[in-house]
Amino acid sequence: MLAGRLEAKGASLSVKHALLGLLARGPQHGYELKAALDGELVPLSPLNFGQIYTTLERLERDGLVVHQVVAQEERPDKKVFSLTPQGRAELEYWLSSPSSLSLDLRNETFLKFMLAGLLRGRVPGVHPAAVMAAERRAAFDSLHEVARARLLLDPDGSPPEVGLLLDLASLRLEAFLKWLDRCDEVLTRGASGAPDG
Amino acid sequence: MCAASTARPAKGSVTPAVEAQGLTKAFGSGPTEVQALRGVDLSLRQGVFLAVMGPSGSGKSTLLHLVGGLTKPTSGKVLVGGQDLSALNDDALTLLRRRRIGFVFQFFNLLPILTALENVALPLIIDGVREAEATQRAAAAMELVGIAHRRGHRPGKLSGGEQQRVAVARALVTEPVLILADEPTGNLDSTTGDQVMALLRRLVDERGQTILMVTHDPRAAAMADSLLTLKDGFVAHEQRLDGGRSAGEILRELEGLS
Amino acid sequence: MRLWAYTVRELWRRPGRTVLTVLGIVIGVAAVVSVSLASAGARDAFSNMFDQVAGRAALEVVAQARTPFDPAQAQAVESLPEVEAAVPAISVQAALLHGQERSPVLVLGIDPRVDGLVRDYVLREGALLSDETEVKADDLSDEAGAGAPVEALLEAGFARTLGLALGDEARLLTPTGLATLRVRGLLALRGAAVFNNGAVVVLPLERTQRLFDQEGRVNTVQLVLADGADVVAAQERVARVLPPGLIVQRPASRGGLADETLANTELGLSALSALALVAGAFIILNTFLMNVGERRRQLAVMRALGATRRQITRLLLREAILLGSGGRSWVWPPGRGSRRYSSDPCRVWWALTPPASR
Ligand SMILES: Nc1ncnc2c1ncn2[C@@H]1O[C@H](COP(=O)(O)OP(=O)(O)OP(=O)(O)O)[C@@H](O)[C@H]1O
Ligand SMILES: [Mg+2]
Repeated sequence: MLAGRLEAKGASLSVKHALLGLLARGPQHGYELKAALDGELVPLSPLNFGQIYTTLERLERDGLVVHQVVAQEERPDKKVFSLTPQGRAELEYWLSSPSSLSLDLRNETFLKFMLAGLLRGRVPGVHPAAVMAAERRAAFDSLHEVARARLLLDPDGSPPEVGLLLDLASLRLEAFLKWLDRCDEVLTRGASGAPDG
Repeated sequence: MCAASTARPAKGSVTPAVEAQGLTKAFGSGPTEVQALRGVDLSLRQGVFLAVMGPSGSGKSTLLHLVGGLTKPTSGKVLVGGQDLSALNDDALTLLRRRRIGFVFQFFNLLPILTALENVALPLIIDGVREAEATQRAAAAMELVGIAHRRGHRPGKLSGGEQQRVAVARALVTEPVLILADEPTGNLDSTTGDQVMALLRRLVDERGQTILMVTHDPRAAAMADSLLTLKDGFVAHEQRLDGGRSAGEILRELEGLS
Repeated sequence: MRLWAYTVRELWRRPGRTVLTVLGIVIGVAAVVSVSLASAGARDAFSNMFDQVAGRAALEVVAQARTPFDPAQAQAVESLPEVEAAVPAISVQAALLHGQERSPVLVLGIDPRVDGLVRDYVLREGALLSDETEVKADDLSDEAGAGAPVEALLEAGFARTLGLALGDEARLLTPTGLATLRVRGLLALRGAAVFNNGAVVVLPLERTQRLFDQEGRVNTVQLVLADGADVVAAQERVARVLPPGLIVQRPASRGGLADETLANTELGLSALSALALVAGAFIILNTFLMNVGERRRQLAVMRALGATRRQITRLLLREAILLGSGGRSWVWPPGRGSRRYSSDPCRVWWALTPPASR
């Protein structure tokens, strides 16, 4: 649940470059790659094997990685992946360029406010204040969970590196909530008689 | 107004730690009259952490002062631990405040000439507890909030976060049914604020402490179990924050990750 | 109460503020104490002075019209058991001439044999008047006597301002002409010499009467009462035996004008004390308000922590008492000392101020 929300609100992750990065340390097979992703790089939002394997296939097709089949006793053979020079070049290029930050100018919540304003009075139950209440409720629920998660990671309030991800989530939610307050001021300026949250 | 739904299933007894019914409060009179509260109900079970939010001037502090018996409502009533505050005279109210309510303020409000330990012991001293015992209990409270190593320091020598922890220890020392906190992180940076919030959360989780906290800060408010938003003296919004998920569930989700 | 111990700790740990507070109290109390002591001193000096001038006489006989009269008329009073002695005296305004100096003086004619009973004479130099001075004067025939110097006592300071030393001669302007005086003794500014601010010439009674053409007359007969006699009762008895035209009264220097002067002075002194009291109270109050103002927040915190109004009030009161007594004990020793100090200059000041301007 937590993972789902965080993913939904966060920017999409480049699994491709995460895998290239891990392989830059040396050849690894699929299970090792998934464990490393879950443990260090994408700790709070586990990826499934399907995603990892399709990405690896795409990387191989583009000539960024290659694989070798290693035979095992009493177990199915395993594929060990390694980085090609093109793969290394792509990784280095990606690491040295800034991440794409979305300005979120096609914001979903804003769209809902606008539509609710337009449809208000025509469609029963539709009202910007109702949108506001739902958004606020959800954002606070998420913030609460992030807060508790942070606390669980470190009860004294100084979490390790993963905590930074929670911090980012928290700050985004706080910003979102502050933005909702702003919306509230602007939206209630014209419209009064909002239904009870 | 609807009552804040603040149930934490297994915790607490039947009597709410705090109840407020139809609270109104007006300041001044005539043309300068200010309606700070216009009818607020709330019910807070024991062991629950309630955050009160709202824009500036929405009546948050006023609500807190009424609940703490620091001021009297214009109408409506407040019950703390089942005791109707309006039925108490000034001395009895003071006694209730002394023994059953702990205060934490934005500006810490520690007495500058007393050491941290003396500050923490002060509510007990006021209550006539022998100094030896008061000191011992104060030391225990300081231990609990992790500030025991600063016991001999004067407040002026402590950082904001440390001062606020001393203030929390002082609020705790009488083992009150209710802790009232007005913007406890308002004067702290976010890291120290987090630490103080973690402390308050721990008091609720581990000791079943009931806390009513006023805050502007959504980050701090999110640490509570319940959220009440005031606007122009009304309850504009209320919400349970725990979403029915126990701390254990969240922990399991994060297990083995760090 | 242990809470009190905490407060004391507070006083202790903020010595600067505590000292300031105590200082405020010290100044306030000192103002009150010193003014009241000065007043008391002045009051003492004042009544002392009247005692000295008026002498020890409790009553005096004077003519109703304040004119000179024959003391024989009052002879009867001497036989009353309440009256131990009757001392006649005459006082007249005159002018004393010496070189270029000319000074208005009060001439006091006394009977040297008995005047010591009612007035003090503290000799600085020379000799007092005695029977002989009178007798010697008596022996002189009128014709010769007019030119012979009259033995006189002057206040030492007054004599010095006129440039007169012991044995010097000066002239006294009287209705009968210029009389020559010889300075027989110089007096300290005490007792009789205090009259008229020291501008006094003390002469033998009969010579004075003759010089001023008042033979056989006096202004006053001062009565010294027997030990334990009641003044009011004695005054009634005396009044009954006096012939018409003569009255008995408390000595002029005590009654009438003196009483009025005393009352005015008392009023002034009381006003001064009241003013000092108000000023002192104001300083002390201010100091406390400053303190309370500074600590209003602390007190509010204490209230929030569950201190009752009574506890806070008691705390402040005890603190006030502690600081107050600290401040007062600091003032007390110099305050006491100041009494001795203050009374002397006051005495001098009162003694030096002419009665008219008092
Ligand atoms: N003692 C008082 N006398 C007069 N008016 C007061 C008093 N206390 C509060 N008010 C008024 O009551 C209203 C609510 O005040 P309150 O302090 O409860 O607001 P708040 O929500 O705590 O605001 P903030 O977030 O700024 O602390 C305000 O309009 C304020 O001006
Ligand atoms: Mg407030």
